[in-house]
Amino acid sequence: MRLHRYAAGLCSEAARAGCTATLLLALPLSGLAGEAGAARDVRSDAAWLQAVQDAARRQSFTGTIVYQRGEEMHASRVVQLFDGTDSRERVLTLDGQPREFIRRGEEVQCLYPEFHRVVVVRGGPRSFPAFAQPLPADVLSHYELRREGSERVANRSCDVAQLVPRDHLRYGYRLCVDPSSGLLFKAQTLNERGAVLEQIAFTDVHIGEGIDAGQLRPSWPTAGWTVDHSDSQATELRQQGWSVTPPSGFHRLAEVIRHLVGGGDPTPRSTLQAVYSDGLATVSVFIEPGAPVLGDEGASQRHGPVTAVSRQVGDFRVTVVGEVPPATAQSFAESVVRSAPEH
Amino acid sequence: MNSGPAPQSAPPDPGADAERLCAWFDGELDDAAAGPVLDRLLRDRALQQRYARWSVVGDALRSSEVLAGHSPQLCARISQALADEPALLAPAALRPALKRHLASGFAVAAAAAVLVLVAVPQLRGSAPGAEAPALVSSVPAHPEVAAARPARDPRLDPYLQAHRDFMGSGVMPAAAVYLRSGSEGER
Repeated sequence: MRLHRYAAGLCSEAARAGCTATLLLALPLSGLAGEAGAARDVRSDAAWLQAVQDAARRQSFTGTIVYQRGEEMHASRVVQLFDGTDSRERVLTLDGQPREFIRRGEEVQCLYPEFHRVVVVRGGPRSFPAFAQPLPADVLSHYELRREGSERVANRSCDVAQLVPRDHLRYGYRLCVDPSSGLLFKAQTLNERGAVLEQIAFTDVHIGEGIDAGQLRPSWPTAGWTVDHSDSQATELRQQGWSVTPPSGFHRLAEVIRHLVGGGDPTPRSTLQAVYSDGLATVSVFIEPGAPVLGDEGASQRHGPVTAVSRQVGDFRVTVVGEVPPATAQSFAESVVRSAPEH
Repeated sequence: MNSGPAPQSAPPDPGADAERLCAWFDGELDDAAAGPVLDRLLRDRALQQRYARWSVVGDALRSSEVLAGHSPQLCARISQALADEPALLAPAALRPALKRHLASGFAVAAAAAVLVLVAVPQLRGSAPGAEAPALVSSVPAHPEVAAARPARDPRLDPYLQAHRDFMGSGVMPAAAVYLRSGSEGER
């Protein structure tokens, strides 16, 4: 599934799980009752997923999105404008520290008003076309698409679909899609027992015409602010003397060298980052000199659907972060092997 | 705090049970003393519910605003917090029959998800509504350690942020990518 456009695609991804009204009408609507799911042609599911991606940028909308994970709940104001060629987006957090994310093309500006600071992020998976992106057929070989009736979200009746993992290596997803616009109105990440690990939903939304482009402007004048760039440089793990064997279904998206800042360490440090995806879940493997970041060998933490695992390999720390079950993250961590570095 | 093992034949005493549970929750009991508490906990439904409530409240106490504020006085603060404990949070975690509602009820689901962060492996069998342990270690986690850990480890922030740059490939909208890490540290 060619869903891997730059992560900082902000809210356009909200539309990703939607599909165009035309395509929706082309689908067997009886499937919405649930029974036709098993018999439905796989290609129609793939087309549905593809439509989801195709529709992602082609909606203009403005609305409020609420995100919840664990004890955290955050609301954001979201605007997306599609001009027929490109989409531009702006996300403003409504609680906690003010933050704003403004995307134009493949560049995202992250605004931190209390620090008078802008972090410009470029790159992402699209900058590394050498690596094939998972296609809908790949996704469907690891997840089953099930239609499950309807649910009311943001005062509209939405079609409900589940992506049920076919193994224990990944979480499931439950989606509510507005049938008229194709926009994703609600998404939940579910564990193997169906418990909600995180969820995001529109509480109100306006779709279509009449959205003022002025809503894409930053909330604050940023003249004079510090501008930092968060760039990563393409590399090859093998060239760096490392090999990672991802679990079934995970394809590599990117292998980069980048700087990490924070975490109690005042000096930016260089790390290798290898990114993998099965089309829905993403996993990063970080390799750098030092002791395991979580202290104990093999220690792991979970925050909603995000698992972090740390491990020691020789003089290097391996840190795995991803929206996958702990065993999957462990599997990534244990597969990291120091190979002969190429000089 | 009484850290001696409870006599096996002691008649049920809700007050004493609660006190021992509280001590165990605070990590003040050694293994020998914790054993009977765990045994009791696994058998006593009322105690399980109390544990679940404390877990939820304890976790609420460890939200990012009070991340640095954790101390051995957690139990005292939990007691304080219990005074105005939201009734909504109490039974949801332990009643499987409510699971269906968990999926649709936003607030209740939030309560269930909060429990994710503190549920202990030992309770999984007896508390089907509870989640898998949030904190897993190569060394089996002591429940009180799991309960005492902050909800987010700041050492992970740089990695979560770097990971964020490549996310948005999944089902969750990319807005979630930012909201996920919205409270994380600065670059």
